Amino acid sequence: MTVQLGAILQYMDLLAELNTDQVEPLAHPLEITNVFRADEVRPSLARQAALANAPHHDEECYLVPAVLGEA
Amino acid sequence: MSLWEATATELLARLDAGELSSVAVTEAFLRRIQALDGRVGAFLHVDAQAALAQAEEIGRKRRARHPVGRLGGLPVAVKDVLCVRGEPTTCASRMLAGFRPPYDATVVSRLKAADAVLVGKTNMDEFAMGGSTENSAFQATRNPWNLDRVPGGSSGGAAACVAAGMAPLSVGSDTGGSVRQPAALCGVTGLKPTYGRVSRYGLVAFASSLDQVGPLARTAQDAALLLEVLAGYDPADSTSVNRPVPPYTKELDRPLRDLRIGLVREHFDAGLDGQVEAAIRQAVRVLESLGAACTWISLPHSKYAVATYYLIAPSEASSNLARYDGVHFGYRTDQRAMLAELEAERRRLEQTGDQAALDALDSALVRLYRKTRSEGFGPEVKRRIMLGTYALSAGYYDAYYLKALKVRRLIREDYDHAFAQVDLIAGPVTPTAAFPLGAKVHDPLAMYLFDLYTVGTNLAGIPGISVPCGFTRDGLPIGLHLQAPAFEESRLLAAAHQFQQATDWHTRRPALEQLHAGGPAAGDAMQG
Repeated sequence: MTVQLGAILQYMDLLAELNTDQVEPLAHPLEITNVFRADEVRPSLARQAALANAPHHDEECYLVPAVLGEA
Repeated sequence: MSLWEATATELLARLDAGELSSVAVTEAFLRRIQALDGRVGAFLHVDAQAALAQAEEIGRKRRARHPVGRLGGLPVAVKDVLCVRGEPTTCASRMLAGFRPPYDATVVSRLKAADAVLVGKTNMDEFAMGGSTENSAFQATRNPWNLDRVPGGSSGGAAACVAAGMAPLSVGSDTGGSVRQPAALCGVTGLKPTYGRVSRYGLVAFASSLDQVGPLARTAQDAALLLEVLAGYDPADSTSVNRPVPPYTKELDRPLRDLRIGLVREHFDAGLDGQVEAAIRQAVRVLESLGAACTWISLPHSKYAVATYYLIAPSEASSNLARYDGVHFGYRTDQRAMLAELEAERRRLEQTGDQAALDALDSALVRLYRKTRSEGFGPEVKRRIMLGTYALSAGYYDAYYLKALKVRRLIREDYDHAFAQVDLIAGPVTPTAAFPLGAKVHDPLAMYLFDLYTVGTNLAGIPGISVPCGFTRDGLPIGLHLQAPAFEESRLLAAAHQFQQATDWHTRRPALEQLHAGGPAAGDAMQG
């Protein structure tokens, strides 16, 4: 894996050939901005549906190992 | 002719005329799946009963003379990267084994509203990362033209099932070529729409600025039909574009006379296989005979496209795949074993008195993430997440990710300049025909370089189509790549359709009944 990643990163050095000092980055093909919807309350996913795929839950919340204090 | 040999357009005409029932059509394709998919492996999940129930319901609507959707009873296979409510959606990953989405992707809702019969979910490279479908965590898919060869990827299952006559239509996704490349390797027609043309809501995200859902079919006419159903503005997708959808199926006969087609000189170099080049040049001659005028053009930054893509896509993927942490859904490592192991490590460190190591020891939650993600993701996914994380990290962001975004603009500008001179760009989809299974699994960079002709389309956000245009001497399909300016899918489909009126490559079928992988001499006479 390390060797493969190394080879890939080395290949990326190709981009250093180009002078891009005066070029603006293009993060997105559609240069649209501020796509908002009306600030209205709408129904969201029901709790049961939201928990349906949870590996571990207590009918109310997702359960994970304790975060604070001792493991 | 058997039902499975007809095109979607032909079947739809017969369904609408009452000559055929959706049940009969669905049964015909389900029988094909049953007979062949054991060897091809295109499907991850088929629910025959549900499909027949849908078909019966559509039949009832027709008999009662109620309006029926645009796809009126046609079977459609869906790449397992798209959410279908209540049905398994795995993205061919252990991370999502058993996951059943609580909602339908918008394209799936549109398919259902159009009365498509959803016949199954198709195999893919895990999380759409790959070009051969070998990165699936569950099974390999084999190329129906030669079972020892890859079908391409990442929509390998979607392409293979159409090529093998297991479905007349399928839906895939294309981030760097993942619809067009398997279409080319499997001898079917596959289109990547303009970015924003088709909703990504419910498409499990790989690279958000590159992903698009696209149709696969035997013909451009069929692809046009499916695109009419898939395309359109979706308020649930903030990157969806609010533009009317043209009636693609009615615009296929726009004359090609005086259409200016550009061939990219950088794409015809030593890396292009001679047989593929010959087929592409012949295809260009056919387009010229239809009235098009072909000239050479340049996309000067072509050689940087793969590096640009393989920095941007993994960077976006590292962000999109951060959600797979074993907490809310999907795979979670065996928590009890994980906690026991962690506790044992803690005690060992306490005994040795290594305070530094103790301070650095994972908390239980972090260990949960670490083990879940190590166990749930395959090697290619891990490779890309690591590449992306590195490219975005402090100290490397400017040299890698930001640099790639700047080169992306240069690549897009190359296309803008080209389209000022020509109406379409033509060329190869892949440098060679389908390679053998296993040939590139140990060389990820070689696998990435196979995408050199298709990644530019996604980087620029423009549409592209792959159309069958020949075969190698070994009987492997070759695809012609056509690219158009943003939102000019009609132009692409018309050129592809008229090319298909003048050629018959797209009508050829693999001799599946005779082929078997690496088998004894009995089958060899039928191969190549």
